[in-house]
Amino acid sequence: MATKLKQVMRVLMVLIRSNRANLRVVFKGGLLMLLSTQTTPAVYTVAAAGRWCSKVSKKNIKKEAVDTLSSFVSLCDCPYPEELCKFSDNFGPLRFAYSFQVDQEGQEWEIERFLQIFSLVHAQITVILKVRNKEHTHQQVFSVKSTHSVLGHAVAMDSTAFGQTPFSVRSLPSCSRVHPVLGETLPLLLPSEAVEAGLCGEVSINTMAVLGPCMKLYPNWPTRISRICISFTLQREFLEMVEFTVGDDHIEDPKPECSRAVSQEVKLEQCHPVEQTLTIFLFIQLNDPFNSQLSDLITNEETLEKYLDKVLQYNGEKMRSVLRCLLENTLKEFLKRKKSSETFQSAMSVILSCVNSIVIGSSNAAFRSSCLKSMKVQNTHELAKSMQQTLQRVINGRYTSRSGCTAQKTEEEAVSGQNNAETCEEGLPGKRAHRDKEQSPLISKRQCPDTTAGDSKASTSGLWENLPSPMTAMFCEGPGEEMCLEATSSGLPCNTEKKNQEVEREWLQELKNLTEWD
Amino acid sequence: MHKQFSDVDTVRAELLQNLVDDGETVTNLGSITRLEVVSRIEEVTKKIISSLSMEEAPVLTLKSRSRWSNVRFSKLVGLLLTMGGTVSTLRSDCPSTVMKFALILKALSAIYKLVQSDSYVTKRDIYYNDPQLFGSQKTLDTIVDDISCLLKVPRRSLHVCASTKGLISGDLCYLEEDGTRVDCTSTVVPVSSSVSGIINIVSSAKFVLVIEKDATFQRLVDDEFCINFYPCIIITGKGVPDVNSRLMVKKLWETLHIPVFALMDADPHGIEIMCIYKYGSISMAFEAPTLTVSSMLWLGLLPSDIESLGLPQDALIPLTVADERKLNNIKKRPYMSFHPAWEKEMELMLRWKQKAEIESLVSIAPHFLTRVYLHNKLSYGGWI
Repeated sequence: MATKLKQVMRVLMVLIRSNRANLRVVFKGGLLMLLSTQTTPAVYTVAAAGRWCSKVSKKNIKKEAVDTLSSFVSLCDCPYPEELCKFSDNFGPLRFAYSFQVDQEGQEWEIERFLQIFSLVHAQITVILKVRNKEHTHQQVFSVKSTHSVLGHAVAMDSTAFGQTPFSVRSLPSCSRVHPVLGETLPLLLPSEAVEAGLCGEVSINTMAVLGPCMKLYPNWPTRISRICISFTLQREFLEMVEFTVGDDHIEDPKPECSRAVSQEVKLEQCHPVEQTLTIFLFIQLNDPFNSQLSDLITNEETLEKYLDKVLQYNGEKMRSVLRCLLENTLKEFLKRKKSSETFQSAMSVILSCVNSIVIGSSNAAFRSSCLKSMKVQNTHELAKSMQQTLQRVINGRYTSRSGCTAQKTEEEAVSGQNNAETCEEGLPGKRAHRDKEQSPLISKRQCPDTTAGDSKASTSGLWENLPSPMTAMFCEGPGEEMCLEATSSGLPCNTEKKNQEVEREWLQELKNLTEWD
Repeated sequence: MHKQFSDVDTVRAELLQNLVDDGETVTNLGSITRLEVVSRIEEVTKKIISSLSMEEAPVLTLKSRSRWSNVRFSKLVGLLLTMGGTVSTLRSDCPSTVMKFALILKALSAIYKLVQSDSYVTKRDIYYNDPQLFGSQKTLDTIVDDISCLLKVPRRSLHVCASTKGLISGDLCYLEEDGTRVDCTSTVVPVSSSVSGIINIVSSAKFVLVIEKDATFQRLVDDEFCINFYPCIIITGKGVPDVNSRLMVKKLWETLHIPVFALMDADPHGIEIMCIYKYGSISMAFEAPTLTVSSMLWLGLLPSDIESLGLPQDALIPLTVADERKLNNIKKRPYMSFHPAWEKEMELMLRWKQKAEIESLVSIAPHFLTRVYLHNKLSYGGWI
């Protein structure tokens, strides 16, 4: 990607950051990147509008910006001022708009990728990439519906980011909420080389991880982690996204084939494991209270970026411990399912060998023939084989005894409340899995509402602008706690909870009425 | 000597009369044949296979053995498992129960072989057959009790013996199942691990004294209580009694029909242990008819003895919050309404907020327990 474009972006981000009172409040806005390739040299324009960069338009700041930018780019006029007008019409007055000549054009796909990933950690901003020449105009808009605010970053949490699940393909209810797990904040020590190179200030790293798509509505559906992404963000600028593809032989639940537990939940012809993505966010913060000059701030950030590998290596042990803790918390459910699967496998072999041993060891002809007749087999050898296959079908793919969503729990309570028999079941009742399936659309309506993009925009902006500190409000449970926040329409969590409780009450009443009719 | 036992003889006569008068019949699990046990295990297996044939996850339904709502009180027997009540369903398709389901089947298949071949093993033998699978001996203990409850057969019919921890001594001779003659007169003998096989019990004991703790038992043995003072049998289960110790006390009562007295600490734990001998525990309520001795009498150490004997303050122990909770819990039990005198004793303990161990009697005089306390109690009917 064009180095100059990246440098201009850094100037913009440093300006925004150094002129904002509360960095943890996330404001909306727009960012336009206009590439005019018809002239030689090409002219790139970077423009920003909206509340997210409102302070940048001050006179003295503008002057500082021009001075800094002039030191490494040749500023010029925008060849398409009408594009800036159009952008301004949509996002408000331009707070930052500079065009500059570039001798070496960056690859378009590189810029596209940069902006796409930039929008992942600046999800509140609508990013527009426009490539214009005499013949044609190409425009691409990076905008996400679901966001999650963490440490002043609006992190994209679109369910589409995690690919399609068998549920969304079949329009089955699926949880669109995000369940980010916040890790510890770790102060980093600087290695001597970095300090000698001029890096100063305090460096710390915040961690967060997300495993998606959410499978809480389908706790017995097999899953596999197919992708691991690590996102590095320095200050508010996106640095890099590293992706790993996990092979088939790693981190996978056993395939269910024709698992009954799964088919009870959702009847699909094929029960392929849902591929999950584990995304780890590393937010690197640099606090340098003694530097206030724009050029110093930029130099310091550039030095940190250059020595980041060494800084991370220098703090390797602590980093590993923080990440291990974060992964343990994020993969808690996944590992639990894996353990359940192992328990089932070992229990199954014991069950089969014991039942076989009793049948084989019996001298009661009537008992033996009754067992063979039940399984429709001729001899004990066939009986063992048949029992193994059946038990495999019956118990395989069953990982959890409890449903994951509050709604399902309440439903179970409500249904068991109707049951007069005083039965205390240690496992799942026979028909429960089936009932889960039947009731799931209702659950989805109550717990995982699909909201329109319009609604979401309104509510998110309201939330972010009103919250004094998203950290205290949203992560009051402390680091490592799993949060269950609704993605786009996440109003205040307590409001959502209240709303859910109301719906639950209504629903329980409906159930009660149904029982009376019966 | 004759005068000494007049009260004990009187109480014996009363107990025998009660036996005749009380007509309540209770199902006894004792008379179950090997064939019946085998057939019940086959029935369980058949159900599992039948569930599988219908593509359903096999389940085992166990009576919950930890709920008071699942037991009823019979004055004659004690705590009995009710016919209905709460059950626990062990599902084979539920991760939290599948392992217990498998372990029950593992033990069941071992028991099936044992009963078929009419051989016996200890629980420890089964455990060491696959220690990794069972995890701990305690898990297997619970599973064997669960199987006993599931098949509705007494534990000894499962051909699984528990290692015995009780001790017995006194005026008693008997023949073990294997023909060994055991004489407890001048020695301490471990309680047999096959109490049901004991025959030819010979004794001229006037009573059986069930002692809570080993230390007190040893003191009585050292003082030659059964030889020098009274013709009696002393037995201890060393704290919470094992099944064999309880079976032995029951066997002695059923064979000799002599009064059974309890000598426990004057604390909630002591009372609890006495209640287990007398009325059984909820976890073993399914086997109560073969284990309980409802005629058992509380000889000492009574909380009221603390005051009447003038036990020094430093020999007493303050009642803890847990003790108070336990006492209040015991007071609420269904059998307590039949024992107003016991309730009174517990009230005293709660009021004084103090408890005492049997050993505290040493603070009065070294041989006070054998020479004075028990002598007076037995001579003047100081039991309740």
